[in-house]
Amino acid sequence: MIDYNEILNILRNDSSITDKSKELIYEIFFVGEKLKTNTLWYGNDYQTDKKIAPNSEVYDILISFLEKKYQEEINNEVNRWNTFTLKIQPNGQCNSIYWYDLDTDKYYKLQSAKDFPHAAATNLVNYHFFDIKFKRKFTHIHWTMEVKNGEAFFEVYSINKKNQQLLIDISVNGTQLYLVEGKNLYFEGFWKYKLLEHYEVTHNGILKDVWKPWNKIVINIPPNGYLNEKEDIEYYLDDVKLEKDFFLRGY
Amino acid sequence: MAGGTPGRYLNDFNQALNVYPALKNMEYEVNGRFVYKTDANGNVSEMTDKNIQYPTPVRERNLTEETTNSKKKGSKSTDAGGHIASNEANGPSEQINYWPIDGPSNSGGAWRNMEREIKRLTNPTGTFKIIYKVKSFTGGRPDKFEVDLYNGTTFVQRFNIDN
Repeated sequence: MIDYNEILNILRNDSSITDKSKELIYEIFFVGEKLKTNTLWYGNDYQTDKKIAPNSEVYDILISFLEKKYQEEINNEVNRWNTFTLKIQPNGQCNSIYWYDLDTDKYYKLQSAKDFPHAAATNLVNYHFFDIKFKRKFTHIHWTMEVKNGEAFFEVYSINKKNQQLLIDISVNGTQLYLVEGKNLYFEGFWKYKLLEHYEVTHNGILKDVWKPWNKIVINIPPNGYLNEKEDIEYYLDDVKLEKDFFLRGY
Repeated sequence: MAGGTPGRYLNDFNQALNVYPALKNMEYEVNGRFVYKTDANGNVSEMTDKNIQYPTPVRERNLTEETTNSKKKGSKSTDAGGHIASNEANGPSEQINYWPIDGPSNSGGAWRNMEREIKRLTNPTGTFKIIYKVKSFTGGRPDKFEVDLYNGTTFVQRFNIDN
């Protein structure tokens, strides 16, 4: 693999940078293992200075280097990092820092937590129910997700225009498989895993100060699978419906 | 340049956009908004959404194409037939608009995070352009994506996604 100093030399000679008289700042943020956001801009003011699309031919070399380092150090609690910031001065001097951006980490985890019921709903309607004619026969699907003693429990009903309920067996395996932590899961297993992950991050993880304790979520899914968070999602603690201020924040 | 209008309902899908592989080294302009570029193997290697919008109601999905035909593209059993331009952003439901995308990524992970963040960064008054690129393929399956968001001509953010 190419050495870090060689990478810096390649970055210094990036021909796509037209103004070499300004400080250049590059920042990459790792949102988990598979998603990275990255930005390049002149000067030291992220908000006002013009951002530049990083030249892929150059910055992909740096990204490959950082991906390897991130994977190697992901479980290192002492030197934990999720962000790399590099400053290149007009004279070619480079300063870089690996650091843990708590605010951005919290931001992305909060967005994912808010999205959890939406993702589950669209997934149920769009990937688990293959018969679109069947979809048209219900007015909505009522999905109760509960966590009891560390285990996830689901109950799913479809409700038609006459308000008749039909129990839906989501344990039936469809064609869609999900690879999670080396295991192949079908729909029910995948969403039970995601529910427990959601429970953990909102009770014991980075969102424990934001999210109220809960142990049940009820969603009412319209035929198109798109939920309205103000009407279609309810959180409960021991069968008491919770106010939504904690998870509607930011919508 | 090829192109056309995508279907809105199951019975009017545009068959010219629904074949795999697509024409090789071709540009397809769809609805005057989505521009798909194919490589020498007929795989979509890049798509530009010239003006992302989130109209309602959303286009009817083509579940057969999503779940079955995307498997032709060298996908893994754990891949979904993922929309390039999302269904919520009125992305076509024909084969040209699907890549095999890792199921958990598409259903609540990296790809969905990117879609959600783009929706947050865009707003109804601006003209936002998105360029989706495949960095490398294994067969017809993308390994890595690069997604760039622009506000007009101003670069906003790049998302790199492993598939």
